[in-house]
Order: sequence, then C-alpha cells, then structure tokens
Amino acid sequence: MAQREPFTGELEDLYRGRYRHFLRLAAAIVGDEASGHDAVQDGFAQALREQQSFRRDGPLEAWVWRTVVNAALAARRRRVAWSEAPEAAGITNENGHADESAVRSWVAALPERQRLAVYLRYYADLDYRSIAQVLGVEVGTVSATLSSAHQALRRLMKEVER
Amino acid sequence: MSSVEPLIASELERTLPLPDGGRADWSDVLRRAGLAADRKPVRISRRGILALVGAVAVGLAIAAVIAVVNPGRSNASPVRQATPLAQANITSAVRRSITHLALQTGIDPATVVELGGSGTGWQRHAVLAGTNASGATVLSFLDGFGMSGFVPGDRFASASTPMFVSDTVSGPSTEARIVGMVGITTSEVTRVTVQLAHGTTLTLPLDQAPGIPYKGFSYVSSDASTFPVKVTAYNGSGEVAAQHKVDATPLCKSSQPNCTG
Repeated sequence: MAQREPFTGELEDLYRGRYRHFLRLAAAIVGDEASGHDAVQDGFAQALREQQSFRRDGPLEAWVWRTVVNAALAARRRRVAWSEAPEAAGITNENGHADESAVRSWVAALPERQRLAVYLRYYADLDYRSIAQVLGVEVGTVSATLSSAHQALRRLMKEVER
Repeated sequence: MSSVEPLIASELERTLPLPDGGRADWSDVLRRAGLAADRKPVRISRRGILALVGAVAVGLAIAAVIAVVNPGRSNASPVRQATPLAQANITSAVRRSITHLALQTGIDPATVVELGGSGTGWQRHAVLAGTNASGATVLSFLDGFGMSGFVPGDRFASASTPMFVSDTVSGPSTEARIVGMVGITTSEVTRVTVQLAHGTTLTLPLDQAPGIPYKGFSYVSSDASTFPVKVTAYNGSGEVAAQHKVDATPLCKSSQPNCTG
C-alpha cells in the first residue's frame, strides 16, 4: 500500500473547513464561481502533489492560499482577453453619489498586489502575517500595500462625492 | 483600522457574499492531483486486466471520435445571470441615455438588463434586453460606438438563425486598435466559442435572465493577437448551430487613409 503523504489529512481538513472562503477569493480573481471552483480544485490538487516541498516555515494554510491564488491568477490570465474584471460586475452609482457598490470596481482597478492584498484581507479574513506569506513579501510590505490601497480608495470616494 | 476599511469590508461582503459550499468535492481534488480516493484493494485477474485495458481503449477511441465529430459537446459556456441596468458596469451618462431611450420607446427601464457585458468605459460591449408594452423582448446593442435602438429580439435571432453577432473595429481609419463584438443566441445554444487571431479558442460565458428567450455574450480586445476571428455557437448536442466571421479590417487601406472622403 502506498504511504500516505504527510499533510494529506490536514489539507483535506482545510479544504472541508474553508472551501467557501477559498471559493470566494478565487471567484473574485477569476470572474465567476464555476471558474473559481476550478481554481480551488486545481490549487488544492497542486498542494497535494507538492506537499513534500512544504517546509513548515509558516502555516500550511498560508502555503495553500498561495497555491490557490496562483491557480486563480493563471486561470484569469487565460481568460482575461474576453472578460472584464469579475469584480467590476455589479457596480452601481445611484444618484451620482459615491455609492458603496462602486468600491468593488475601484478595488478591481487597483494594481495587482494591492488588489490581492485587499481580497486576502477581506475575502479570506487573513491577518497581515498570513497575507505576507501568501504574497511572498514582508509583513511591512503588506501593511504599506494595504495602506496604499486604502488611500487610493479613499481618494476615489472623495473624487466621486465632489 | 482606517475609516475606509469598514466600508470596503461591508461592500465587498455585500457584492460577493460567502458562496454556497455545495460544490466542494474532495474526491475531485484527489483525482486532479492524480491520487485515487481511498478504496478497498481489488484483486483482478490477468484476463480481467486485459479486458479492462481493451474496454478503456475502446472508450478512448469512441471519445476521440465524438470529440472530432462534435467539438462543442463538452464544456458548455458558463451561465451567468443578467445584470439589472441599475447595477450594470456602465457610466452614469450611458445609464441615463439608456433610460431615456427606453422611456422614449415605451419600455419600462426597470425591465432592462445587461446581458454578456465586457469591457469598461466607452468600450463597454453588452446586449441590453427589456420588455416593451406588448410584453415582447426588445434588444439594444451597446458597443464602442454607442447603442442601437430597442428592437424586437426575433428580428435578430430565431430557430433558423440561432445567433446574431455585431462586431466593431475602433481606431484610426487605417488601423484596427480595438476589436469587439456583442451577440445573442436563442436559448437552444449552450456554448459559444471565439477563435482568436493567435489560434486559441475561448468559451465565452452566456448571460441569461428569467423571461428573456435569448442569451447574450460579448468580447473585446485591444491586442491584435487576441482579436476575435470567428464565433461559433453550439447546441446542446454539441453540433454547430451558427458561425460568424469577425471582420477586423480597417475602414481604409493605408495607402488611402481618407478613403471615406
């Protein structure tokens, strides 16, 4: 009988416990839930295949988030030519005010690292340390990236309200 | 936490709430990873192995023949729900124009939805579908040049012509810089693909709305290598239902940049 890989059980628990969060983030990146599901499945499949390379230099969950984000980004690149940013859908601008739903389109327009940091913060509920591990940057960089994103969004809100 | 964080958090949550977990399928992950799901060992005789190999070979051959004969059978287009006009990704000026045109032609703007939108700003491409006073579905095509009037949908697509595509070429008279197309299909179409200039074929999502017997799609590109070349609609059996060749030829030849006078 083949030996079970070391983290298969943990990966399965993570999948079953956090699937909806992974799906939401992947759907936000790729553009629709079906493609997001595919990215989650592919990301976890890759994590399973490459689990021997996980060095325990951070939480397993952050490592898996990274594989799922990469799978979603790859899926998005394959289809970016035909689809507008998924997060750009559903924008409203009622009565010309800086309405809240415009926030999503503004997030979509952020540079990629800022956008991913925002998604990981708000869709995946990750702390700065975990986001840093997912994005492969220092915690301070996450803080600066999110700060820049918040400033950009605040500026856009003020421009629309003007 | 800065003052915008609660707004970002609540708005992102509102526009993309935590989805249903019904799709979760760990055995599918195992398959994709090339790992079989745990199962009891099965003892198979040599004759059984030979029979199994033969059956798999026959199955693969049949699948290959089906794939060649009916390339559209697999991978139906993702189906998306239409976006109400109030929430469509268009500028407020365009929204006002659509509302005005709808009212002028006896259409309740509240019935107008966007099908198959793509692109942003002035390059937004989409089908606008509404219901007129007679209860008929009327369609308008929004592209880089503006929007058409609302016209009954059966003038564009029917059982005999299950797909209609309108394409646009933007740029100087001698150069195609942005090529887009927007189209509709009848409900029998389950998959629409677009072949790009560099040879890749993409499956486009199809947007639909309750009570509207058409599905909408669009595609826009500003990269010549990914300009659309050919659009193909497939029915539920995987048969080609309609095709459309996109004409990305600039308006004028380079030797005659003012060919329109």
